[in-house]
Amino acid sequence: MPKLEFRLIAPDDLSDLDLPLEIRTQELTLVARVHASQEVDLPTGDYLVSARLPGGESRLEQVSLGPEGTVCEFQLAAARPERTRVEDDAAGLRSEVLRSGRERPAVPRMNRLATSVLESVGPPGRWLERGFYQWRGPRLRLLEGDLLTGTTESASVDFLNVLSGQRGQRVEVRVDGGQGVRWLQLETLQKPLLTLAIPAAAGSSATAVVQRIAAGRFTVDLHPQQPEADLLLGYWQAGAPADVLAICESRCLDFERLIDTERPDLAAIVLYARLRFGDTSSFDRLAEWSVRLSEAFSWLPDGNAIRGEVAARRGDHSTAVTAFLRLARSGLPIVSEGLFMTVRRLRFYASLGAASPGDGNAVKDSIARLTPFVQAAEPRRLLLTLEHSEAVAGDRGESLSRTFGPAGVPSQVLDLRPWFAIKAQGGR
Amino acid sequence: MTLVIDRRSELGDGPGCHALVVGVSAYRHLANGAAPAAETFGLGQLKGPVPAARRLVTWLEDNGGRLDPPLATCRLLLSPLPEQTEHLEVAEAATLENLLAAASAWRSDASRRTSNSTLFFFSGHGFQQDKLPVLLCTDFLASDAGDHHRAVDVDSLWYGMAPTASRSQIAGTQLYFIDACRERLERLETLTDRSPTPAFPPELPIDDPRAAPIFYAAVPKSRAFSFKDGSGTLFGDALIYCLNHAAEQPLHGSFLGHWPVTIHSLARGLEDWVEKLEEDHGADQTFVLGGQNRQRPLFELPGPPDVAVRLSLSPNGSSQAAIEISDWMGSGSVFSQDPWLDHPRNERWPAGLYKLRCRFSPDAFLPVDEPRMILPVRQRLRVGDP
Repeated sequence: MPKLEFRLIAPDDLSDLDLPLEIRTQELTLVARVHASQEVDLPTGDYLVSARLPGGESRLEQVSLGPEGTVCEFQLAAARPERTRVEDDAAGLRSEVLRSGRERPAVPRMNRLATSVLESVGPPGRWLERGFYQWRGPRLRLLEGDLLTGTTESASVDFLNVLSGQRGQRVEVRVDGGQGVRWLQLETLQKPLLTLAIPAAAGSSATAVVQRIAAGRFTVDLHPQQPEADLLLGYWQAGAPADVLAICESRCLDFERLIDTERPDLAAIVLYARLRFGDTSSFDRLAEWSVRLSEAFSWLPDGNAIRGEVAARRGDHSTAVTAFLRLARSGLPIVSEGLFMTVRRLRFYASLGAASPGDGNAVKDSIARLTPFVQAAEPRRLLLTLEHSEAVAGDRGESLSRTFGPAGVPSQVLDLRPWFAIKAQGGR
Repeated sequence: MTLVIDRRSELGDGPGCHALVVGVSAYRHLANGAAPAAETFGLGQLKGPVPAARRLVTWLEDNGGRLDPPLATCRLLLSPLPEQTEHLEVAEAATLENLLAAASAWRSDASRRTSNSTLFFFSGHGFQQDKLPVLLCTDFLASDAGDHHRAVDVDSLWYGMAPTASRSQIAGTQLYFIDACRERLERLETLTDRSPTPAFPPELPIDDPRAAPIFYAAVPKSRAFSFKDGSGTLFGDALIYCLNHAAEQPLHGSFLGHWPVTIHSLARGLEDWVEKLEEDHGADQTFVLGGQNRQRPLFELPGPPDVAVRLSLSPNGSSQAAIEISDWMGSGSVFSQDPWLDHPRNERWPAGLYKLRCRFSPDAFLPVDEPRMILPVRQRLRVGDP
């Protein structure tokens, strides 16, 4: 039978995107589900090839498959309806394609309680010099280390490089991964300090997109370098479980491949997705993978969160509690899900009292260590995002202040104020 | 009267769906209640939850036979406001005692076979206590409540429905709908050391393959909203809408055939429709999915559901445009205008594939027969001027 292949018409870094595709006959009967990197044998005839993007938009192409086979050119970004808008905004093209339909601000829209917390924070630290007051712009700082114990170090600003931007609107910054978990901090005048886990390992990078969302307010989104992982997060953020599972099947997100290429961060994201949305028939594989992830990459706490949750679901609570306690000693996971599921399970074990499968005191201590970070975590974000103002309001405010850095003049910051300093030169 | 639907004898030994629906509008010890406590933490009476719960029960009465497995029982607890006369004496009050008793009977029914399913819906006040979502019963803050403040934590309910050595056959599909705020009441935590009551005594689960999603009306630190006219809640409306519309395209066969509503399609639909209602009503509410979310079909719609389509022209000022949209299978035009003047416009068309023809100059339609997929629950169709 002739082969149908696919070629994406997309921006350079997305042309190899392994997009999930559906192929239907002209009568709309589904004949195949594939990824863009695959080819499929089909009888000659006319077909419709479709894909759904995180924003909910469907892309669809007609193709005639002749006896010699055909390459279906699939328009991804430069499709006719968006052509004008996309061409005018080349810098934002990638995130335009992959983003979810719903904008989720890093600083949540404030309800009355959150507002009262913000007001209690008071004036900014003394490092905010006069110019910063005038420009109200954001600055980025890079940390590496363990937020749980406060043993973080400020990483060199060399690991932050501006890629592109639209003056006054948005800046894209490349953030390089390191030997341990790295954290990006967004500092803005009189706004909560945001600390975000970076989905990158040594030798890879992520892209931080900093945008102005209102006067004096900025948001930052982190995108993994690999487009399939970025697409997965986009589908998940958009609340599209079926699409999440479809992209998990991409060869680019194959667990073995990610481990071989030293991308345990992305492997963890895929395992979280499978754990959340996948079928229980895959749990044996998940169990094996989570053990390998936690043992081969002990610097990444997510392996223990996944290992614990898989074990708990299989009724192996002794293994589960051991893994969760190990996480509470090793550091914060990069995916919010890992933190939330760990604390949720530990709380349940604590509620069992004497029947708890682990050391009751260790369980309680771990809950106490992790809870302030759960309270600081932004629940709308998949990648762990901590909001400092709430953290300092918690019981462990003093130690958390150390964790997030003192109010001294930071030596290593990427100053984005010039990018956003359009009107504010004259004063506050 | 808690059991408002009981079809167990009809179903015999077959599997069934067991529902527990709770709506709390009246709070005796909150502001404007019959006996308000000295400190009510800014919480008062709610109009929306009881109508929201009643609408779900009505939907179950009308559609329970289509569920897979079919509806076997529905337990209902309602605490209406005095002026909600049409809801008075319909069901027992949603006190903590009644809720625990109903939950126990509900779990007992659900525990007979893994092919059973369950549905839990709560609409009323809620908050986060120690990061746990807590649901407030109608007698919340009763003076004789002891160490507990007459509220139930969601986690204890969810864990209590897990398979255990004594309930290894409990329902394999369990849906939880939590229509309540999830703000943190810091003053409550400061002023009292009272805690929520576990729905069930904790017990270690065995292998837990449940499909057990928790559909939360609000993310932590945020609120869920009722309609001011007392007709219901934003999430309750979205849920009914999605039960009727949030289907997946058929994997095989014609688009004109049955469209399955699944856990995943319901999740995606609620994400979209809560956002739409939020935009329509100016609320600040964000749906979020929790629990265990493996895919599971719930029931089928007999045909393609209607989709809310927003048709817009880009750039908006184009004056020479003409448009024609017709069904892909050739059953005719659904929309045609030349010149196309009133845009953007909102339409409702059956889900499926359509042909789009548009023209931006008097010369010709371009592009010809461009296919466009329209899928539940809403779709934006932007037609761009090349």
